This record gives sequence, structure tokens and C-alpha cells, in this order.
Amino acid sequence: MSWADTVRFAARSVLRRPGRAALTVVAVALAAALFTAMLTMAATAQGRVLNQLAKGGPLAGIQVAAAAPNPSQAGVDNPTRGAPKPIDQAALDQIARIHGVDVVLPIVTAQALVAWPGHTATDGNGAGPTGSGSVVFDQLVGVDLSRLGDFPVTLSAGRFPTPGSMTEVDVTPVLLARYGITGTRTRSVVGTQIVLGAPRGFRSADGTPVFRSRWTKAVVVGVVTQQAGSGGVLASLALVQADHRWTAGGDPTVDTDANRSPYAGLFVIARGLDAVPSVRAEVEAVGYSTSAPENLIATVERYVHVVEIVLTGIGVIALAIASLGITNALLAAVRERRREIGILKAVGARDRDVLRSFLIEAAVMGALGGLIGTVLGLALARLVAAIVDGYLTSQGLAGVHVSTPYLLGIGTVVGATVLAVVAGTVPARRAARLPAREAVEL
Amino acid sequence: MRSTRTVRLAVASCAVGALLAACGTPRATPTTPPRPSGPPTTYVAVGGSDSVGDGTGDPLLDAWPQQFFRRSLPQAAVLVNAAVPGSTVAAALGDQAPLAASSHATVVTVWLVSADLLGGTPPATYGAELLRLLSALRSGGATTVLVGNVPPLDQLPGYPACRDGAADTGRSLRCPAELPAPATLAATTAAYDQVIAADAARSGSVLVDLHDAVPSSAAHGGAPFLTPSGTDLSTAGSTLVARTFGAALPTAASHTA
Repeated sequence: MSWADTVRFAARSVLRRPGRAALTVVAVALAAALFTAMLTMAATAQGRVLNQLAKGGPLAGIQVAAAAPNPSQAGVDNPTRGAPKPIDQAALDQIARIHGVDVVLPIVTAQALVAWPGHTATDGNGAGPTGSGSVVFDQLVGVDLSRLGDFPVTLSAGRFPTPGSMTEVDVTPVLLARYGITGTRTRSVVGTQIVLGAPRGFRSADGTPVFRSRWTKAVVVGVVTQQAGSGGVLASLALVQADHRWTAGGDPTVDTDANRSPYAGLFVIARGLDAVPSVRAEVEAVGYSTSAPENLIATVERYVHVVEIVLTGIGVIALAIASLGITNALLAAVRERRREIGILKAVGARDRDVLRSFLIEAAVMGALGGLIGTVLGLALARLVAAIVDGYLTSQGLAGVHVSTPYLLGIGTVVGATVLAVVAGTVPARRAARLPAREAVEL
Repeated sequence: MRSTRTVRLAVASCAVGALLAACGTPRATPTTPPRPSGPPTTYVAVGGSDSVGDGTGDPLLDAWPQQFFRRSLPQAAVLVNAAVPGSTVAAALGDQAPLAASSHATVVTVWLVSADLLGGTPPATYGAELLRLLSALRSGGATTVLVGNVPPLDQLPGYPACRDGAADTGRSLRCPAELPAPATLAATTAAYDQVIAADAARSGSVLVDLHDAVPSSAAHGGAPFLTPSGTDLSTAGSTLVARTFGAALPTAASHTA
């Protein structure tokens, strides 16, 4: 028998009992869908959890504070810091040269009066005479906006400011809460204008301390949750540096709390999670306190891996059960087609031709079921993700993003096909060994 | 001597800013700040209590320089409010002018009248010191300087209210025991306005004519924007001053071009 004859024989077998074939394919498809959906959701959940731990930044990110390290807390994820210690350009360059460091990103903060026309502070800490008014004390956080993907920053509404912009900012839900703006109302602030004032301490001619501010106008273009620095307003490095220079240039006897460190902190990205411990140790040797969720991430990764193994096991069991359906369907086919097989053998078909025909039938059902199941599974995962995303964003939290796991899809289709072929081996062998005489006599 | 004392008492009862504010509700026309063109604008406000925002509901936001900055200057502009409560022109020369210079100001507003009037500075002395201040701020013509004059104190609501007897009207104005005659007050105001106009012309600064911009109290009947004490600019009064300075700005820009 040629390959074409074999395939034709297999196709005829499938078409003769289309209902049974369809049910078999559906069984495989459902199992494959379950397998794909569970693993996709597990991967998405893992990404979400790790992203949450890294605050939206890279997993190998290390926060360097403008403070000396605490020797008793080496290796702790979030150690208590030592005495304040300014970070200057020389320190930044020294840290950038450490082996295992991929990039060092500076963070600048500046004290700020945030004036929001039309809004009133509700937390009782406004800068007005009775703790009210439209002006509150807060901090600006300045980062290189062209590298936002490397910072622990998550956008929940609007967009990020344009890199280098002196007139665009993002605000955090914490700042908005001070004005009584929470939940879905946070989105409404996008497009509004605020005024930012950097205070500077002076001593007047008669010795009286005076504060004068440097005011700038800014449009709120987005709402973000950020852990890059302590502050409710995220802006470009240039904007915050200008305000920082103004405040730091004041009379130190008047504004004793002014942050005079050129950089409030650094965000160091190591070359992979494995490099994080050694890089942290080196940075602390330079003289600065570091923090990174490395231990937490390792623990969570272990737990998530266990969950993945369990889910994979469930999916494989489902596929195995579906394969039994293939075995059952093919055994029934062998029983029904004994005469046909006998005739084939009588006219010269070999055992391997019959074997091949049944294996092709099994493979086709497995591949078809796997393909349909993979598509169904991905669709199901996206549907669940969309529901979760809707809930999270309605709560003012960052949403989830499902990527298409092509490798998983291909693996599921191939796996379902292989399992089907394995499941079809017993009935195919039985059909192949059927003596021609016995088959014709029936 | 009597004349000077009388003027002092008059000014105490009818603070310049508050009286300005009493002159009518500003039109609620929304203004759009002009789009940035050329180098960023650095604006420095030189002034006293009125420029700090004393008396407004939210001083940091409602002070007239802050309103002028938000309404009339480009989005990328920077404001440094150098004003010090109670500052005289002489004090501003030593304290506020250096800050304007170190900030590389491109636009400066000067409204420094109250403390000198209250302190009884003679118009000639005031004029000489103001000229020095304006010349220093102009930086050889590189900086646009807008200088405000004195409103017609005798025509503003506080003054006639005190003359008619604040107790009778039920208002809490702090009226002095002795008020100058309207003619005396008008003469002092006119003398100040005269030297301010002359100094503006000599230094190349732009005169912001608050005297003409402020409508008479008779036309507006009462002082809806006075603070309860009658000594400070209210929020609405600050808005009126900011708008008047804002209206003068295009002239200033063309002046320095």
C-alpha cells in the first residue's frame, strides 16, 4: 500500500463514524484546553506576583540609598539604614564600575509644595493656615524617563511624562488620597494642571528666616504607583534637579532639613538575579545601604514552581484520560473493520500498512484536538485575565497582561499528537496482527 | 507734619490692596496661558504683604503674583516670589533685587507702595529709591520690569466707609481716629503716582496703571472683596491686580524686544 492509500484508508475510517471521531477530538481538545489555560494562567500569575515584588521594575534591581549600610543587616532584603551619606557623581561612577552591574540609574528628589487649584487637601496636612488649603507638602521624584521600564514604576492611568519634559508630571494615588481622590476618580486628574513650589530658606537683613519658593506649572499626564523614591510626584530628572538645586542652595541655618545630596538614591540593575547578592555586597563595601527583594523573590519562585508542577500534572492526567478515549475509539474501529482489514491483507496489504493507517488516524485526531484545545485554552486564559484586569484597574491597581505562549501552544499540539499515537499503538498493533483468513471468515 | 500723619492714618484704614479689591468683580473670562516661545521665562515678584498673599484664602495659591504667573505667563515659566511682608523699596533694594539678579529674571513685577506710605516716606525719597530699584532690576534692559502705581485711595470704599462711621455700617473696618481730608489723601496719592510714572519712564520699565484700572467705589457700591479687617487684599482683589498686570504684559514684551 502506498502512503496515499494508507491515508485514504484512515480517512475513510474516520468519516464512517464521524460522531465518534468528533467526540474523541473534543475529548482531546478539552484536555488540551485545560492544560494550556492552566499553564498560561500560572505563568501570568507568576509574572504578576514577581512584578509586584519588584514593584514593576526589573527583578535584578537594587535600590541604593543615600545612607551608610547597617553592618548587622547584610543580605537582608530591606535593612534599616545607617547615617545619611550623600551620593555624588564620584560615588555613582564607582558603583557603575562594580562587576556584575548592568546599569546605574540616578534618582533625584526635591521637597515640594504641591498646589492643586480647585482641590482641597483633606488629610489635615495642607500648607494652609489650618492645615487645609490647596497646597500640600510633598516630594518630587526625578528619574530618567527614557528608562522608565527599568524602574519600579507602574502606570495605572494616562501616560508617562515625555522624557526631559519640564511641564509634565505623573502623580501617585497616595498624593491623590491627600486630596480625597480615590478609586476610579483617580483617572479624572489626568489633564489637570498643578503648580509645584520648591522652597528655599533665606535669612533676611534683620536675621529673620524667610522661605521663598521656585514655582513651576505642570500638567498631570498620568497616575503611577512608584517605588523609585519617596514622593507623590514623578517627573523628569531635569525638572527635579532644577528644584533640588534651588532648595539645596538655601541658607543651611534656615532650612536644616533640606536634602543636599545630589542624588537621593540610585537604582542599580545587576546582570541577572544571581549577580544581585555580590553586587549588593560590593555597593555596601563602597559605603551605601542597599535593598532588594532577592530573598523574597527566590522564595516566591520556589512556591510558584511547585504550583506549576501540580498544574502540569493535572493537565497531563487530563490528556492521558483523553488518550484513553482514542484507544477506545480505535479498538472499536478495529472490531468493526475486521472484514475490511482481512480483505486488504488478502489483496497484498502488509501488517505495517495496516499499523500505519491506524496510527495516522490516531495522530490526526490527537493533532486536531490539540490544536483546537490550544486555541480554546488561550482564549479562556485571556477571558479570565480580562475579567481580573477589569477588576484590578477598577480598584486603581495595575492590570495584568497575558502574553501569547507560542512555545506552550506548539508543545501542547505536539504532546497531544504523540500521546494519541501512543494511545493508538495497541489497537493498531491488534489490527495489524489480525490474520487475513480469520478476518474474511467472520 | 499734620498732613503726613493724616495720610498715615488714612492708609492704615484703607490698605491699598484691600481697597483695590473692593472695586468690582473681575470678569470670569477664562484665560489661556500663551504657548512657550524662545527661552524659558523666569519671573520674579518684588513686593510686600500684598504680593505674599496675606489676606487671601490660600496665600500660596491666591497671591496675585501666583495668579499672574498662572494666567499670563507661558507654561514653562518659572516664578520666584521674592516678596517680603512689610518690605519698603529701600529694603527691597538690599534683599529682593539681588535675588532677581541671581535668578536671571526675564520678567519682574514691582508693587511696593503700602509700607512706604504707611511709614510716611516722602514721595521724593520714595521716588529716588524706586528709581535705583528699577534700574537695578532692568539689568541694562535685558529684563522686562512692570511697576504698579497707587490706586485712588480717596475713591475706594474703605475710606468713605470710615468717614461715614464704620460702626454705623456694621462693618469691622479698622478705622483710625483721625482721617485725612479727601483732598490731602488725593494729593499724596497723586505725588506717589507721579514719581512712579517718572521712574518707570526713566528706567525703561512699564507702568501698570492701577490708579485708572481701579473703578471708583461709588460705581460699585461697597467693598465685597475686602478682608474683614479691611487691611489686606482678598482673593478677588488679588485676581484684579493680577489681571491688570497681565494686561500690561504684552506691551512690556514688545517694549523689550
